[in-house]
Amino acid sequence: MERIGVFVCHCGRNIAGAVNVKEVVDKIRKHPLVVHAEEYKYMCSSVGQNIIREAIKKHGLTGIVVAACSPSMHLETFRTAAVSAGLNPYKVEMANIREQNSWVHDDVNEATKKALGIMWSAVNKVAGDQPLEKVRSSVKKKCLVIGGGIAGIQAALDVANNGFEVILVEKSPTIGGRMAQLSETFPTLDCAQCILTPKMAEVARNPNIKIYTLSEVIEVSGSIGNFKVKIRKNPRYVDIGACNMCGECEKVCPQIVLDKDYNRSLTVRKAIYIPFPQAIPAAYVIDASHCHGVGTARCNECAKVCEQKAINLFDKEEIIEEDVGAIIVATGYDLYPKEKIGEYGYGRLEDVIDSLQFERLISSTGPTGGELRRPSDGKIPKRIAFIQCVGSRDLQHLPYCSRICCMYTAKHAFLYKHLVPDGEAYIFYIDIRAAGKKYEEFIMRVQQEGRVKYIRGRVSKIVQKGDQLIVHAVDTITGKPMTLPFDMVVLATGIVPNTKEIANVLRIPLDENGFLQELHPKLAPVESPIKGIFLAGVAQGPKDIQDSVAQASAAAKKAVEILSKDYIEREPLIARVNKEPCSRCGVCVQLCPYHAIEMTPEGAKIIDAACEGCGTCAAACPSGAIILTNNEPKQIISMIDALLVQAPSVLPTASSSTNKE
Amino acid sequence: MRILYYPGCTVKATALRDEKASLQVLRVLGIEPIEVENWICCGATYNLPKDTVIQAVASIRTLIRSELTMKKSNTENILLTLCSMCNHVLKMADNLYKNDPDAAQKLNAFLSDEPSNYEGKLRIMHFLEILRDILGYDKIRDKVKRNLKGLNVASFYGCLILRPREVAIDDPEDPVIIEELLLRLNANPVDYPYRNECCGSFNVVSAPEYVWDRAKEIVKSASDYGAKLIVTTCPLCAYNLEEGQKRRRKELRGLELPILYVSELIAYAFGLDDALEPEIKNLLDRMVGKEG
Repeated sequence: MERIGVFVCHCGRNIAGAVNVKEVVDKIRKHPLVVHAEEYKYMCSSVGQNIIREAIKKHGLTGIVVAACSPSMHLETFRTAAVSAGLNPYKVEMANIREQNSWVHDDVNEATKKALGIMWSAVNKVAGDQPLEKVRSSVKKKCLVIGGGIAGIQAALDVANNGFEVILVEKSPTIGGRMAQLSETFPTLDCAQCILTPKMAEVARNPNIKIYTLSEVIEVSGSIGNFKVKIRKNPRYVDIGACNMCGECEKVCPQIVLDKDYNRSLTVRKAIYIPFPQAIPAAYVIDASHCHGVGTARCNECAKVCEQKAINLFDKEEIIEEDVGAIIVATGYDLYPKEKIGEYGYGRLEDVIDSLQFERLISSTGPTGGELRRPSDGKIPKRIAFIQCVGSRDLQHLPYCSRICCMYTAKHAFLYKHLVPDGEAYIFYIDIRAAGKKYEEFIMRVQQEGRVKYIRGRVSKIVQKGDQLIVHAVDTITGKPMTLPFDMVVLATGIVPNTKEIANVLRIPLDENGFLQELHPKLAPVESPIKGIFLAGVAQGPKDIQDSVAQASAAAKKAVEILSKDYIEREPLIARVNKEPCSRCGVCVQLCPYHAIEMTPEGAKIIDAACEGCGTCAAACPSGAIILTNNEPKQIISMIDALLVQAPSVLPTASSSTNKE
Repeated sequence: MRILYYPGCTVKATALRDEKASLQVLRVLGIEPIEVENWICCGATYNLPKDTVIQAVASIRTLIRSELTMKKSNTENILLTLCSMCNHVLKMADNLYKNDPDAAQKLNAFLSDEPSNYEGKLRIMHFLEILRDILGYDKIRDKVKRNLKGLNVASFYGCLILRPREVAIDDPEDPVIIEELLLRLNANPVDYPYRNECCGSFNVVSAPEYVWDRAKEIVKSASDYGAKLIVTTCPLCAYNLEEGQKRRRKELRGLELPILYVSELIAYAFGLDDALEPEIKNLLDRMVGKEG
């Protein structure tokens, strides 16, 4: 015979304000299995936990119910307390009478009735719970980092410096990401290359880090501690070890290609190229879509001149398999395409450029060697307009704030004034969001020292007139419409995450704007909803370099926490299959969000390590062949019974218990 | 095909030229417009505040009468409009009625003197939409009798035919519907930046100087880009541009352009001379002759 104890928490006035605690304690005592019930102001406090421990020992309880908040808040607290008094942790249940009751109801009478129903059903459930032990599994001491931008670089370095192996997977031919394209960085105006390239070099020489460039993660299975990862490594056609970067191949290559990636279509490169001089790995790469020799050697000019014999035009893609214990996702962002903004010319006005193009134009490694010349005719722009919130905070495009544009636009205007001291710079803005350390001060400096004109108002249209751009705007401070001529316009286009493919592979949900969904927006901002997978950088939400680096270090720390364990403890509350009634219909296989079920000739089979115990399969199985441990059908029926029959039977009739509080 | 036709006040007063040409063009293409019985003004402007429905009352009354005419005369459920403003206001009122049950209820109460409620069965379409979506551009090309080759024509959309997005007949920032038509007539569409600007609209009443300035900028821009002619589909745009360039003649210094309705150019290309005012036909004869 089970001996159940019930502990009801007031949670200050959070619960007691809407539930008559004394009454529910009295009433739950009428449950035939309840041998002890009591209340306390804060059950989660150490005094409260002590009450539970003492009661378990004194009354010889075989199971307990804590009627308090959500189990996601304090289940572990109460389980730990129960374990220290000798109870199995799986004989502890929580009745959520706060989030699901007192917080959402204000009729004391009704809320009290509902609380009793919830508690009664929890008692019925705990009576049917089996005592269980956690399942242990080994941990692969290796971390996968997806994305080689500044967030991925920082995460990889942090994990590697803790002594664990790192697989760094990058889609493009080099690591460095967006930061490698920038000229200077706000608010300190350090040169981006100068602070990024040492970190890139550190990655290259760290023996714990293995870099796969031109590579994509195409399949991930398994779970925390034991992920199996498949990586597609696209051919580079150049042997990284052999290439000595002499550049002879580039000289003879006859194929001239628009440099769409690194220099954002502002200049050309060859089909064999290095993205930029400090690229890591330091080796040339062949752009297969433009090379005429790949796979045929019809043109093999480059191979002919390569003294190192580093070029292999018959290089093939490889599928690499790796086993890792944790994964960090840092896939970064793209700019919202200016081609989607009709009022600014749909990308057809040559001298209306986006912010990354401007970075390239003022960068010393850029197409103009750092001299600012406009794309159409190479003239130095004497009047320049910067437009903020292009695409961002616009319900027709991106509803969110991209967070970095106010700051980088201020930086752009300031750098412009250094390059063209007699030039005039205007910034059109909605408002200035400079919430960061030394950010507001930087804006002030740009306005005062830089003498940049800030106009509060949106630009409605940009029109080409001769070799000038006419900007139609409104100054919302004076209320006057204005029409001003400029030589060049820079659009601070918003940022959009690169997450679609990776979210599919990893099965991480995306939020409504396409960013990777974190486990909790405040309390678990680097954890994904899947255990063992962590998030860093803009893939999770718009952020600048500072925040990306901080988040990457946090994600690395979370990964190290897993990698440094000897084993992973897993919840035993998983699904199991009763083979006999299974008709092999396959509904469960389709529905399982964790790919934890496979179909065998004998019926469905649960992959224990991957099952998260969500219960979707058990609910969907048409023949009732799948059972979620400690959520047996008879337990669920008894819980429904508690709510519909048993709890109401001990309640006074509605008329006798009016609200007397 | 028999469809409903809502003229609106302006078309019957200052834009008779547009009506004559549009209806003839449609008839040649096999469409018979049946004028709605007892139609009234659409309301002329559609106010955006959400706490009132008064701006939609006149429109919905006309839509009720349109449905009655539809049943009586056995027409399709398509309601033709010619004026940009009518098209805009009727569509906005129709959207409000269909998407906001509370507003619909209030409107029904206002309109209880009508024999029935609006059933929401109409498809309000502008003349240009009918050409594009019901007939198709190919049918238009088949009827072309006069070659407009080499005639540089600037389309002027104005704002209400393109805004807001929910009732726009084309992409507000980069419309092509008139240009596509011009290509079928073998004319040469001129791409200039002000084609989808506002002409100043009803500010002509309260701030006419402002409207004349806008008209000057629009005409000058079209001229600068090589246009010999502006076509529009909005009677108010046509008036504002015409009047504006007269008032700013000195500043325009000979850059003034003839302002025509799109329908007139189509009618000319179709050879429908009796659909055109003689001076319009003469003007186009001269231009095509000169250009061709």
